[in-house]
Amino acid sequence: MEFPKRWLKILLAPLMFLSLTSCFEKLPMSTVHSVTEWGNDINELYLITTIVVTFVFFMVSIPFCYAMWKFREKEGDETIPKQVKGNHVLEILWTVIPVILLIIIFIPTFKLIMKQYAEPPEDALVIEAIGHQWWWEFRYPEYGIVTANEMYVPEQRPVTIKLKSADVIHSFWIPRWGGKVDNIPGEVNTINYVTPALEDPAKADYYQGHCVELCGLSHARMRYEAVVLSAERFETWTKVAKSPPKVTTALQKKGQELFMSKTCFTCHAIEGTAAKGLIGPDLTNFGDRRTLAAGTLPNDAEGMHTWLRDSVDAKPPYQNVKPGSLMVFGEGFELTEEDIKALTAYLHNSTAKTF
Amino acid sequence: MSSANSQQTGLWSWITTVDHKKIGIMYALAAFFFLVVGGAEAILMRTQLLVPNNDFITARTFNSMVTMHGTTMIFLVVMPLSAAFFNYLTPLMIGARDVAFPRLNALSFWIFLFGGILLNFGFFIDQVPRGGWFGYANLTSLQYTPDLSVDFWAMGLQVVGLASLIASVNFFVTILNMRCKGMTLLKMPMFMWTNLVTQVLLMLSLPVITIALLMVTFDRHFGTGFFIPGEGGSVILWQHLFWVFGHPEVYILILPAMGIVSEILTTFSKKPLFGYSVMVYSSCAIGFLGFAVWAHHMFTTGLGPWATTFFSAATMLIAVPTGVKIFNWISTVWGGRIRFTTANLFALSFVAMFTFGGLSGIMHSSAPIDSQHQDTYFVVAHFHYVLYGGAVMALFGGIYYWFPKVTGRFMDETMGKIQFWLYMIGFNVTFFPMHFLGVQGMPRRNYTYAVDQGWDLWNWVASVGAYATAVGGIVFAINFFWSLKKGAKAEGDAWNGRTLEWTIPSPPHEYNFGIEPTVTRTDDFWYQKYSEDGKKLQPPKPEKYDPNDIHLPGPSYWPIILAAGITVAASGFFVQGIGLYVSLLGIAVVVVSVYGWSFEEA
Amino acid sequence: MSAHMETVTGVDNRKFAMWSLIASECFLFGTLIVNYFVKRNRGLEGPTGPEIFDINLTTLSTFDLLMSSVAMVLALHYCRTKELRKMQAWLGVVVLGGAIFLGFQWYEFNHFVNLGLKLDTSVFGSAFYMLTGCHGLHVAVGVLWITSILITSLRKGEAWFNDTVIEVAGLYWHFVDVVWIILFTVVYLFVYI
Repeated sequence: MEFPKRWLKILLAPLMFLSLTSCFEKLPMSTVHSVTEWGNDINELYLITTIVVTFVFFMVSIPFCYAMWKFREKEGDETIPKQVKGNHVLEILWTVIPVILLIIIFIPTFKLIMKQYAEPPEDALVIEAIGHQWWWEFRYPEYGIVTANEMYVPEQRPVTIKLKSADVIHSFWIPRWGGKVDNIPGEVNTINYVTPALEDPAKADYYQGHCVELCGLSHARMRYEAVVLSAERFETWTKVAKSPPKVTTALQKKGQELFMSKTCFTCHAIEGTAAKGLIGPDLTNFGDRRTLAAGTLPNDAEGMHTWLRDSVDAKPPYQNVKPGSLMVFGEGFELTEEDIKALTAYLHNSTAKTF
Repeated sequence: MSSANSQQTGLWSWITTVDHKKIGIMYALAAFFFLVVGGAEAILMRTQLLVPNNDFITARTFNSMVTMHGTTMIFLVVMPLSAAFFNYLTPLMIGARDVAFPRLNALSFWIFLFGGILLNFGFFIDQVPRGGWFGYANLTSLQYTPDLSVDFWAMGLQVVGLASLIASVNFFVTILNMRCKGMTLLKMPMFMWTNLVTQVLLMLSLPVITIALLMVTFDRHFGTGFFIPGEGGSVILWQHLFWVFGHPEVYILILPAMGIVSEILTTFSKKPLFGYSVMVYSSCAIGFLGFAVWAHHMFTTGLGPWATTFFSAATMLIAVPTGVKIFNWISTVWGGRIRFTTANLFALSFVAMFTFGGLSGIMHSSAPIDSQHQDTYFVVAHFHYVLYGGAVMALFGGIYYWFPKVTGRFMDETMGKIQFWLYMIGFNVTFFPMHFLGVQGMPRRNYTYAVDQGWDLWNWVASVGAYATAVGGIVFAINFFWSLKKGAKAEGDAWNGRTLEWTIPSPPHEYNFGIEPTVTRTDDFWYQKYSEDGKKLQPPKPEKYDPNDIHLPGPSYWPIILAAGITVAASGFFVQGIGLYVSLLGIAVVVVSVYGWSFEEA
Repeated sequence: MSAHMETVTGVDNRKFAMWSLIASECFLFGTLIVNYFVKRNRGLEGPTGPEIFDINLTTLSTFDLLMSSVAMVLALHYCRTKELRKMQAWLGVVVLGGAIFLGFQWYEFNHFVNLGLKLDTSVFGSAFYMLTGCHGLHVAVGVLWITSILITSLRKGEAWFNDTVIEVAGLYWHFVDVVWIILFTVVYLFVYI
């Protein structure tokens, strides 16, 4: 009997290890590595619940397994067990104990619900997060800034996010900051955070978010990032965020001309230029973003190439990169490799460069 | 009138049958067919998610699979499979010759079957529904889904819902009105109790979804704006209406399974159900509370603090009667002589898996925790533990348990156990890692995921588990067909059972009981075989009867015609132009068959 | 299976089924009423309720439907006392009452459409037409049903006094009537509050 047991151990050890590490691994969207007060509150409650639930699990499974082993039918045993029909004391017991356990969970739950719905402080930074099929628009009414797919916030500051939708229901979720709230067309929800502190004040911290309500074809390609900056950097950012991309080289100049002559400007806006389109993301600070197409591709020359090629060549909703996306060029439009380089050079040269 | 002697066979006898047993078998076969469809959809999804950025199927196909897997498994697999057991067993367990309305019963089945086809009709014209089984407005509006996919979905559900509604009234009346002598409500088998509660839930929750789906159809084709925010409609209203139906629906799926498990565990432990009356009350409590928890599906929609608190508390409360059930099942097994037949393995695994799923459910009942888990794979894991590890496992147990009654042959135990372990291991390998994925923040219904998320490993593991389950399904199919032909012969009392269906031969006569039974207590049959202290008793001699004296309702072809008329009428409802004439044709068929039906001698 | 088999509860299966169906219908109309309440003050283009409702007319049609319910009670009574002509006459009155109610509704809908409230004008209109239209459909089904009972009785004469059938149809008819009273209150009378 020694042999199978050892094998069992060898088999089980890596599994145990994997499951433990997978829960504690600091993944970009981990729900248990929270960095805000709200997130920590939830995780505290989650821990309490997990302990209670685990306790119940063992309370159930130990007698259950024992019963299955102890009362298995032995060969040749034809006796009939005692026909027990019930036991009121026991039944009352296992009605009352769960009630007590549930109260243990309910009290902190109630407290946290009330805390979550509490009014935000007056000085909170107000941001509007508008869900579109399939990208995010962020507006800063205080500063008149419009940006997309990257939400810039100063560290350790109360933030109130007004959740809206331009089309269907989306849901706003930055797992490491706390729970999610839905963007519902025709209604405005709010979500309040105190933004986390920076790990290194000289750098920015990036937190991933994702739409979590099925919102159509490319729901899976609707990511965004919350970018935490130091207070000074955020101030600087608000000053430059409305300046258009700088045009210095000939290539960038060509890119700008292309942008204004191809169909780009009908959907996209760039502050300080003739491009005032409202259908697609605002591209004023495009060069400052780490990703493009809402977290689908890295925002580099290669990513731009893949994205633009697909947008020209594929017919919606059969794009390869982001099926169903409205990022398409009209009939008969063609982009040469040179055009793509020019557009990339222009759009990547935005004034705001946080990092 | 057909006398009981003339056992008919052949396709026509199945089409015109009003025999609850044949209808039950047809429900089961239809459910198996849709199980293959729904299972294939799941396998396609798992294959797509095997590796990040996979392009095995397109986003469009994936969303269709998400939608149709959910819809199919709920409405076309678990519900009809439960209905199969209801049909076959209700009269047998309460000692009746048939249900209260045999022809209506046939009608339910045919409406269900045609509705199921209508629901899946999009596959034939590449317009498969893709708005999720919950079909949240306003993604389902004409603006965001400008093809007919949503219409197939909505009208298909309407038709399937109508079938369930008719069946629920039928079984409600049957159970309350047609019990044999001496079988008071509190002497019924547990399965009949969960059956009864299920029918009440169906009766009261289906009208809500009927209206909601009608509003979707009106929004799409008649210019109304119930769920269109730009026209003053409210998208949240859909969620309320959907979940007012949708949450009782969850209990509609699980309650029959609970009943089946109660029957199997008692038989194979040779003990009566522990705390029978408490089990009855807890079933009723679950049914009642099921109507008061719908908004826990909507914690993230901004319900406001007090509504959130109420629905959190109500959801936690529902854990109490559920917990009582689990402890009572364990106590039923405790002190018994447990036989580990395949049926019992499935039933025992139901208790384990359902407990597990229930516990992760308690986590979500707390709204703040739910705000982290909602719409992640954690929830996927949770409800698969309840509905797959729970309901489906129990239904498989039921198939192994009652197969000898239905066919007169046992299913093969070796193949059964292979299937069980493939299911059990495959299931847990698929769904346990989904808890990790949820905690790691992977959203549901994503057709793909990026490499940088770190979700590769557990998705890969989950997919492998799904393949193991699929192999288990194939083993089941082989076992099923093999056992039909070659399985060991079963007697009437195949498992040393406790309830009335085991008192009659396997397979039963068309008239079920030669002499209508009389019972004096719960598990009456058992106490005819054994005394209270376990001594074997001499079974009473069966009384003589003349089968020719038993009159059964005659076959009728009106149910299938009426069902076809209803489905045709529904399918024309949303097609512009020609649709009107199609609907009128359907309505004409409905009118003719209703009159044909009412003038037919039953 | 005979039509008059004994049941455990002593209530005929068909009657029991009708009660169950009525329970289900309560949720159906409940949903529609909730929808109406949510919608009645939203997205108001076109005329609103108080602007177009004619309370006198609707009171009259309500009275008409109530009276047809009374006729149903009498028809059942004469079925039990086996007075064929009287039973048929009162059944006729029920059908007539239902038909007149439908006529009122037809007129009212036409009138509202002329005043500019169509199904797709506003969500108020949609909810109103859906609610009252669904009730009208129930009345129409009842009229057809009771008409076929009347025809059966006319064809079979003295041989046919099936009080269960009439009672079940009566249950349905009274339910439809009660629903209208509720609708009359929540749709037409609430605008005055």
